Parts: sequence; C-alpha cells; structure tokens
Amino acid sequence: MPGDRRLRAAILIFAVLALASVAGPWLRPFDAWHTDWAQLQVAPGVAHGHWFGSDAIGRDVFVRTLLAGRISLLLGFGAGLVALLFGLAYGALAGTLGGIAERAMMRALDVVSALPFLLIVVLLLTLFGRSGVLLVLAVGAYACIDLARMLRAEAARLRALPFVQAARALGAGPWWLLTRHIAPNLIGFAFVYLSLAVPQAILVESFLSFLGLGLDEPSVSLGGLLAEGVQELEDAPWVLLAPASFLALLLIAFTVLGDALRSRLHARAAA
Amino acid sequence: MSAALLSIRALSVRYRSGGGVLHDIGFDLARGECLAVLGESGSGKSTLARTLLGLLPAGAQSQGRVQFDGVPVDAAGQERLRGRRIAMVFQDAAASLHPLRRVGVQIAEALRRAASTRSVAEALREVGLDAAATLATRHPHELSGGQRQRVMIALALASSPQLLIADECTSALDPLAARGILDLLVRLRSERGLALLFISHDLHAVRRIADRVLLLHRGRVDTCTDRSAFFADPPSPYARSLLAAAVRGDTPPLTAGEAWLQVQSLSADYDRRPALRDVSFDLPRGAALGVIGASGSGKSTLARVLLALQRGHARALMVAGADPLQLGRAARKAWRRRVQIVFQDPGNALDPRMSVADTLCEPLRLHGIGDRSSQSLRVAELLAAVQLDAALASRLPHQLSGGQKQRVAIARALALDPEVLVCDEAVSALDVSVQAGILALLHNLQRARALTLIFISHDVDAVRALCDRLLVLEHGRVVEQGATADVLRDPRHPHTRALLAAAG
Repeated sequence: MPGDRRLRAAILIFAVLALASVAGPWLRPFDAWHTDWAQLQVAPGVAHGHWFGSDAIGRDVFVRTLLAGRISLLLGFGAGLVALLFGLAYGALAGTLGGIAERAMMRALDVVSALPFLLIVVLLLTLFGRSGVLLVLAVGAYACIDLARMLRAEAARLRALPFVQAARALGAGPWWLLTRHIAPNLIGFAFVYLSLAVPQAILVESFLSFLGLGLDEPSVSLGGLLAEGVQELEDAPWVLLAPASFLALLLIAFTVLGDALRSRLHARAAA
Repeated sequence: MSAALLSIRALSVRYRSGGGVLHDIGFDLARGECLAVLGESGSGKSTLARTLLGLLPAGAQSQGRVQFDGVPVDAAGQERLRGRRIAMVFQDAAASLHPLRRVGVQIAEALRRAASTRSVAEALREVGLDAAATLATRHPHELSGGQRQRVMIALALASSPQLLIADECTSALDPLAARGILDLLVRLRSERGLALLFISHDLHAVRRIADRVLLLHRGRVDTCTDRSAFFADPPSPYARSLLAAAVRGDTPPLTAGEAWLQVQSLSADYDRRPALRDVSFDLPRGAALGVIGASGSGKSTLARVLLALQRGHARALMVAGADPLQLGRAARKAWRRRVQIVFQDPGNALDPRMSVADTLCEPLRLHGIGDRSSQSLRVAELLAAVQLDAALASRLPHQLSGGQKQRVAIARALALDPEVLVCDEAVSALDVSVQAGILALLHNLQRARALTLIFISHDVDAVRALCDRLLVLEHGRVVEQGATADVLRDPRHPHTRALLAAAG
C-alpha cells in the first residue's frame, strides 16, 4: 500500500536524523564551540573538514546542527511526555466522571487555552530564569491542552459503551472504570496523538529559542541556531540552511508518521 | 414473458487474503420480480450486492458471467449501470446521506443528475413523505430512521432504475418503521414495475415481500425457490433449521408471588428530554416481563433507571428489596450484586483488551469474592452455564463470534448470582439461529436460578416465547400491560395492535 511506503520513508528519515544527532558529533574532530581560526565562514565542502561549512567565528555547522537537533529532540520528547501524562490523566478523568465535573474541567481548560501562551511563558522564563525543566513543562503544558480535549472526547465515547456501563452495573466506581477500562483503551489513541504533539512541541520550543528564550550554550537548540543563522544570512546562508533543513525534515517525518498511525488506528476502530 | 433482467452464472468472489466468499452463484431475476437473498451474517449477501455494482473492496476478485438486460456486464458496464439502471439502498441511511445538506437539496441534485423532470415534492410524495411539511428543508439528523430510509429510496429512484438492490434496508429500523418501508417497496414494485433484490436476514420481511427466495449459506446457494414453497416446505436441511429456529415456543404460565419489582409513577429523562413518564408496574419474583415499543419509546431508559445507571424520579420504586434511587454508595454496591444487565450490542459488550477469563473475574474482584483459584473455578462454571467451551477463557473479544460474545456478556451478568436480570435488546443484533440459542439459554437460566427477568425487545416472537407478562411503551408512557397471552390475543390499545401487526 502507498500509505505503508510513506510510513516506512518517514520512519527511515526519522531514524537517520535521530541517529545522526546522537552519534553524529563524534564523527567529526570538532567541538561545538571549537573555533577554527583558519577557517572562518567557509562554505560547505569536504577538503577543509567542515562538511556543512563554518560560521563567522569558525565553529563547525555540521556538529552544531546535530547537537542542536539532539537538544530539540530531547526537549520535544520531554514536553510530549509531559503532555501525554497530564493530558491522559486530565482528559480520561474528565471523560470518566462525566456530568458537572466533566463540564467544569473542560471549561477550566478553555480558560487556560484562552490565555496568551507566549506571554505567560515569557513571564515564567524571565521570573524563574531560563531552564530546561521549565521549558519542557511550559511547552508540555501547551501541547497537553489539545491532547486533553481529544482524550476527553474519546473517554466520553468509551464511557457510553456497553462494556463500561456493564462494569458500572457490576458496582465499579469511577476509579475502577478509569484504571481498568477507560485509560487502557485510551493508550493507543494517546500514543498516536503524541506523535502529533511531539513535533508541535519541537516547533514551539524552536520558536521560543528563536526569540532568545531558549537554553544557552552549550545547549542551543535548533531554534537558537536559526536565530544565529539569520544574522549571517547574507554572507553565509549555510549557517541558516543546515539547521532549517534538519528541522523541516524532522517535522515532516513526524507528521507523516502521526498521520499514518492515526489512519491505522481509525481503520482498526472501524473494523 | 421477456428474458431475465438480471442473469448470473457461476459467479465466484474471492479475497486475496481470506479465500473465497462466494462460490458458483447462479440465478435469474425477471423484470418486476422480487428476489429475496436470505442468509446469516458471513454468508456473502452483501458481497453479492457489491459485486453486482462493482463496489468490491480492493484485493477482491470476481469471476463469472453477469448479464443485465441481455447484455454482458464488465467493469466499465457496472460503472455505467450503477446509480442509473441499478440503484442501491443500504442499511445505514444516516451514513449514506450527506449530513450537512438539506434532504431537499440532495434529492434535487439527484434528479438533476438524472435529467429527470420530476420535482422534489413529487419524489418525496412517491416515497410516502408528505412534501407539504417542512421535510425537504431539514437535515438528515432531523429525520427519524424510517424517514431517512425513505429519502434514500427517493434518491435511488431519481434515475428511474429497473433494479433496486436493498441491502438490509430495514434491519436498523424498529418494527413499525420497517413495516412502513416494506409496504413502500411493495407499492413501488407495482407502480414502477421495479425489480427488487431484497437482501435480508429477516424471515418476516422476506415472507412479506419476496416472490422467490435465494438462501445463501457460507457463500453458496443453498436453495432457490418460490416463497410459498420455501416457507411451507423448506427444501433443504439448512432452510429447515433456519425456519425452525424462528418458530418459538409457547408463552410460559403466569407467575405469582411476592412483588420483587415495584415501580410507581416513574419518570426519567434521556439527553435532557423526558423519556419516561409516569410508568408503573409490579413484577413478582421469578416472573419474566417483556417490554416492547418502537425506538424512542423509553425502553432503554427504563432499563438504565432500574439498574441505577441514571437518575429518575418515582413515587415509589423497589427493585430486589431496595430503592436504587435512594441508596448510599456502599449500599448500592452491595445491591448491584442482585441486579444485572445484558446489553444489545455484542460488539461493544466486552472490553476489547480483556480476555474472557478477566472479564468474568472482574465482578468477583470488584466485590472481593474468592481468591485466584476459586475465581478460575468460577470462570469455568460460568462458561459451562452459558454453554461455552472452557478453552475460550483465554480468548480476546475479537476472537469470538457475536453469539459467543453475547454468551460471555450473559455469563458476566450471572457471575454475582443476581436475582433480577435485565436484557436490553440482548438478542436483536444476532442471527436468527444464534438468537434461538441465546433465548433458550435465558429461558433455562431463568427457571434454574429463579431469576426475575426483564426482557426489553422489539421482537414480539421472542417476548412471546420467554415472558409471562408484557408491557407496551409508547413515547415513554405505558399504553398496555398484562399477561402476555392476553395482550397478544386481544390487544386493546391501537399502538399495541400496530406493533403486533408489524411483527406478524
């Protein structure tokens, strides 16, 4: 099936990018912050050893891109995991309880999502200082809103099904329903939406880093590199192009992956 | 007599993955004739319909000769015929209509595409929908199931087809609406000279509408004969077993004794609309009450209130010695051991991630009954009680058939030795022969365990065989109740009479 081919291509791209960002930097003899005074702002090439070129102060773009990819992936997965845990707990609980509790929980979520997210994150990051943990929590909280909404709807659908109603009739309370019936049946659904939440988290984190709200050296993420690249755009476009391509490929691979997983889940649900 | 309109010879369909679905099918359909294709689920009925329209899923291959109106039909021919000279009506009208467009617009579009000169009002009137009302301006979800099916038929007729394929088109409807659709199809046949391929598993519907019956069994033609011959003298062992399954036993004698359920003036809402109003009845211990009514009559809401799965108000309510609306949490959990329910939809009756053994252990774990070894003994006992092989204990729901799932659901309801068992359309989604098995099982269990049974159904035959008392609901009110034998022999309320006529 063509869908399968797309899925395989996406997995391959993702695996190459992930592997490269984990192992890649060791392939080259440069540190991320090593300054090669002899090779300032050289164009990509093989002869001088800077495969993707170097930036204005002689740092190797190849190594820096892969290291930044490592940070972006880490933050993205961290935030995705935070979103999954909170979103699953919140959405499943609301959907299981139903009634007034459900409505109150969902309206509270509406209020949170109506707040200007960026403003709050900027405030938090300036108040408490820029830290990886805070960044992961903030981006995760942002992604968790959508996830909680979708899981709430799915949990409410499950709650109305005969097997959950039968368990209620057998004397099961909300906690039993949540832990034995609703949450286990939500896991597959949650993981599919996680594959959509992770790229969203990576994108949001890159955006924050681009604005200078990300982590400092040596933990610069792709967004930070993009910000540096923009400054050298006229003299050395490769400084921008390398991290930008990495980010674009990563997001596309994730999106295709998420789409394929989702259509599989729906096909299974329909069968 | 002209040549056959549709002629099929040696038709076989196989899926690349799963092997053959249809084997060597052959039959003729004359102009204006109604041929019923009868068969249980998995017999290949719907595959046959899809093959004729060229709508087989990818990976399916068909062989054989199909002639329509004397011309051999190939893939391109199916394309040309579909929706023009051959039209189709499906079971699920809600899914076949565009949900966001008014039905009048949809019909107008179909008429325009067919270059028909008829108006939307005429098209609606033909299918028995009063065009003067605002019906054409409504969206599909604002119509009842029967009305939607009529709209589907109007759409199918827009191109003036010669053959209409109706695939289980009455199965999702309650008996009154289904009867209306059948009457409509009969009328259209005589008015338009329309040939009908009526695919169904419903013996009553087939008996009402068909000229000839083609019985499919595991993808092969078991029997193809006249309707009267088919019903009077079933020509094959399989046909005999199918008809025997449908003919059910006599009404059990009236039970008397202390009242085990007392309902006085019960009202309840469904989806914030009143669904039950002022319902009252008494039921002695060990009795079986049949509850019948059209869809939307409040049958399921009644079950949910009696099970304390939703709220309601009653002047007095007593189910198995307690009022479920008044109980505190701990008391209600204990009370639940005595009152259990089996739902309609076997597909969703069991948690897809839990094995049969886990499903049957759940009630025991919930109430802290027994340890691991006694629980597994109990599982074996319960499986035996519902006549299932003990080897099924490790299976997951998707590895079970519909009938097996429903037996597991019944076993789960029996796990706590309840005194009252509510069955909400518990056999409606099953094939006739499977239904008969489940009904016999319920009957025996009820006797052996002195269960008080509430059997909610739109199937009058099932109620007749199982229940000594009968309650008829219409729009949430009780319109008639009494001993089953009396009500069936001499129905007093017009709604009861309509229900019985539709079922007969």
